[in-house]
Amino acid sequence: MSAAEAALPQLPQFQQQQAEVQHQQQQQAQAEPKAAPLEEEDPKAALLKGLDDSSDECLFSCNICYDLASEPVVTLCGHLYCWPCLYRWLQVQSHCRTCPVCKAGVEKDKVIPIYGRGGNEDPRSKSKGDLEAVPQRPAGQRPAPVVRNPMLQPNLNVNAQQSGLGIIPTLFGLQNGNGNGGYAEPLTPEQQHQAFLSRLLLMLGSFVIMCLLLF
Amino acid sequence: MASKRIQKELQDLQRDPPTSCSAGPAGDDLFHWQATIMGPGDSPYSGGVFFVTIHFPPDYPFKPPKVQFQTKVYHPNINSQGSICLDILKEQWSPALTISKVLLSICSLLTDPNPDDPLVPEIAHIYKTDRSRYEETAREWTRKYAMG
Repeated sequence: MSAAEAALPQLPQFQQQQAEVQHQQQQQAQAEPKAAPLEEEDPKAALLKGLDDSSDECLFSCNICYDLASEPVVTLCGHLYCWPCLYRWLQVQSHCRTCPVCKAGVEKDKVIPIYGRGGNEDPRSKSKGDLEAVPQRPAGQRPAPVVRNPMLQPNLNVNAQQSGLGIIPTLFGLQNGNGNGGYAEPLTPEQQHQAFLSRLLLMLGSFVIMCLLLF
Repeated sequence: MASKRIQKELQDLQRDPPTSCSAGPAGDDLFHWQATIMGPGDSPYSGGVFFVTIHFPPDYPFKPPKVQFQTKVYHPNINSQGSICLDILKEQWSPALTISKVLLSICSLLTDPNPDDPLVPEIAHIYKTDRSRYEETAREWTRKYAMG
């Protein structure tokens, strides 16, 4: 991550350099028009070559095999690896699992996969031996999007009404505690399930009490 | 994978060679290298050229390379067989390290011996108790074995 951040401010510099080079070339072209075409090639080629070497290859290469990372994953400390390379290193290290670059702790299921635009191979195209040796890389975490508009917030009261339990919706809605004025924390599916169960129990309880009172 | 990574290290070494050391394959075998280390200027090994062999294991870089001095060195952490006592060549090895970094670490080990984790206790004792005698012997060995 730090390498990427460090590289960012350099890009405008590069453009500036290129602009300067072009400016110089123009000046030279004006001064000695015959020599210009020859000199035009060299600085540009050198600059482009430098850009290729440093940013393209090294920035996205695995810290273990030094190749362009395949099935890239990044550790919490920000270091990039191929998933098969990192997995193998974590298997080799028996006592204490650390990042090869900075020695920070690394856990297999706490690495973040990077999904680029291309290069996401079909798992079926892999050879069987590979699949047996290295498990699938961990999937990315998908936090629920935070809804900004309180009017559009999916409310659990709606659920209660929809499932035909909404005889006294406000009574059952009290549990949700959605009264924090807007940004309600999105509930996980487990929490939703539990809330539904507790409301069902409360419903049954009140039904029994009503039966006892009426009959 | 090992040979590809070794090839890349070789390219890097050729593109950006470190000062005071050089390394490359000894013959056709990419897994067997020969390296030279110049004795650091601020050490009794100054002026000497030390030959080192490097063997890459088949599962490199997951396992460290085996590095051995061919030239005799008078040093608390290098024994008469040329074995080196250096943590990054053993339990502190990391696949992010390269031969260039290892050679650099050996250079700094020559400048700053580690007598608290010695491979040759006698030399470590002399290094701790009689520094000038250690330096004199190290200089003598360098003259005798690492020059000319």
